[in-house]
Amino acid sequence: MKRVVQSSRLSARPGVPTFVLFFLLGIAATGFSQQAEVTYFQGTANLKSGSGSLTPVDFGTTMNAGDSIVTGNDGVVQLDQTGGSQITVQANSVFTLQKRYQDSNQQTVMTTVLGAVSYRFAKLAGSPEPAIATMSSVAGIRGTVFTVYAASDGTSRYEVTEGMVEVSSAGQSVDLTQNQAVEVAAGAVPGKVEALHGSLDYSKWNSQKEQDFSQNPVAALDAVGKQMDTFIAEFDKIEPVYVRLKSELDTNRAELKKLFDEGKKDEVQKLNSDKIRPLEIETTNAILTVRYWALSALSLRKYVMGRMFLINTLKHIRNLDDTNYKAFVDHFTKLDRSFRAAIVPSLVPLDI
Amino acid sequence: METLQTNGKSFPSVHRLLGLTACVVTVALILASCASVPRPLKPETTAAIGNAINAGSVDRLLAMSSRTFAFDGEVFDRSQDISTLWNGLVQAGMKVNLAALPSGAKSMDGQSTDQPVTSTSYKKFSDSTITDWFFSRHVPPLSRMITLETNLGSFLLVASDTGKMGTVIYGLAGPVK
Repeated sequence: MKRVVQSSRLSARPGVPTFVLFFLLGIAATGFSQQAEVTYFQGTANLKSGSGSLTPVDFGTTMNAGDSIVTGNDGVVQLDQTGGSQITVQANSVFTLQKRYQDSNQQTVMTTVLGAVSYRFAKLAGSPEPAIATMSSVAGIRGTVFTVYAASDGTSRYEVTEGMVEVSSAGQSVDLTQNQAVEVAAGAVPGKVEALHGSLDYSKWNSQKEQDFSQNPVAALDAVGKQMDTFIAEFDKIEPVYVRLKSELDTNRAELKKLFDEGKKDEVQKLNSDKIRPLEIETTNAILTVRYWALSALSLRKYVMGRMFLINTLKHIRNLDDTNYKAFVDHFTKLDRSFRAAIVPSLVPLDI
Repeated sequence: METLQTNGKSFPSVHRLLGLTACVVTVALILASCASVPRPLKPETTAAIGNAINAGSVDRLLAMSSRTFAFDGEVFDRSQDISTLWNGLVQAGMKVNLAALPSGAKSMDGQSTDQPVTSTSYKKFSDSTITDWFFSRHVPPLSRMITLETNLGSFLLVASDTGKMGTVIYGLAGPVK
């Protein structure tokens, strides 16, 4: 059966998907803390690779930048990194490992999209340190043991057992030290720092969040919409930079070919070292960040908004003409439209 | 020409060989095409799906569900989400009208509620690029889109029963108007 897939913004440009793939495979294969190995697992757990496949994890499975771990009701996965750092992905969770370019450095970002993920960093994991994120917040680590929870409504919670974590969201930060916790609602600044009394029952906490969401789904969706707006705004900042750099690179490569055909070896070498190589690095860093924001928006859309749609639709399945449900669907459709217009053209079928 | 005597009749051996070859080729073609000829879901497949829903057997439904699953325009790859979907429908009291399930015989007569999945089938779930990609990547050729008449309305279900995995459900949409 032949299917026609609508062209995307990236794939509309000849050579770009190949470039992206080679690049992503390249970064995945190098560097400290850019990959992790499965050292223990139980129950249902799958690795969704950057190339789009969904396969059960096994002992020794390597998780590279661009990959996600998706666990089932009974699934737990432990990942070890070079240097002794350890990541434990609990049941019903989605955990992603990504790369982005920030402050003149490539940075690893470990995101708890949904569920619970515990971290034990034996030492600062390379330079720069990895960022720990959820759909609504980012945390900087200072050598520590902590757990990150992400609820179905986009709320996140950080619990620090040892060391220190700086949690940032919506332009504000709070520092957590040993035995402290903080919650961050989607699109909001961090909440009040609280003392940690035992570990959280994620299932109960998430159920409460889903109940709260059911009480006022439009408000919950609105909060997630703010987060989506943030992702789209960041994407919109970097995407034109990538397009400009790529165009510049293509022009210089054409010039290089011309000089090569004319046999001007010295000029070829000069153009290559002075312009093309620096441009390749800049373009690579730009596409890395474009992908980071696009995939972050996709995760929010798929795992948070998607689940909200599912829960609310099932709640009203006997009466889809309900006024509240209609208001929710209207709002959902509006947000989805923004996502489709801004982000989908930069995704590829393998992302789904 | 060399001939073969059989029951008093003579056959040219070349013709005999050609005939044999034609038979072998025909059988081979028939066998090869069995797996690639579009055909409706087996009645036992649709019955199994309908019975699992009516019995509230979420475990059976989950066992039949693809790891990547579409509900309307949403694509899920977490078992919890797929479980929430089936549990939610069962808890809402969804009952399939088994008598209205498509059968092989019915779907051949042009009044089909069992259709092949085509390049535009995704639009019945959601007219979006993501859903198009889901169908392209995760719904294999020869899958079928059937209509389930239920007490909650009509639902579209995409499934196949031709692969090694037996019955696999790839998605559900509805209730459709």
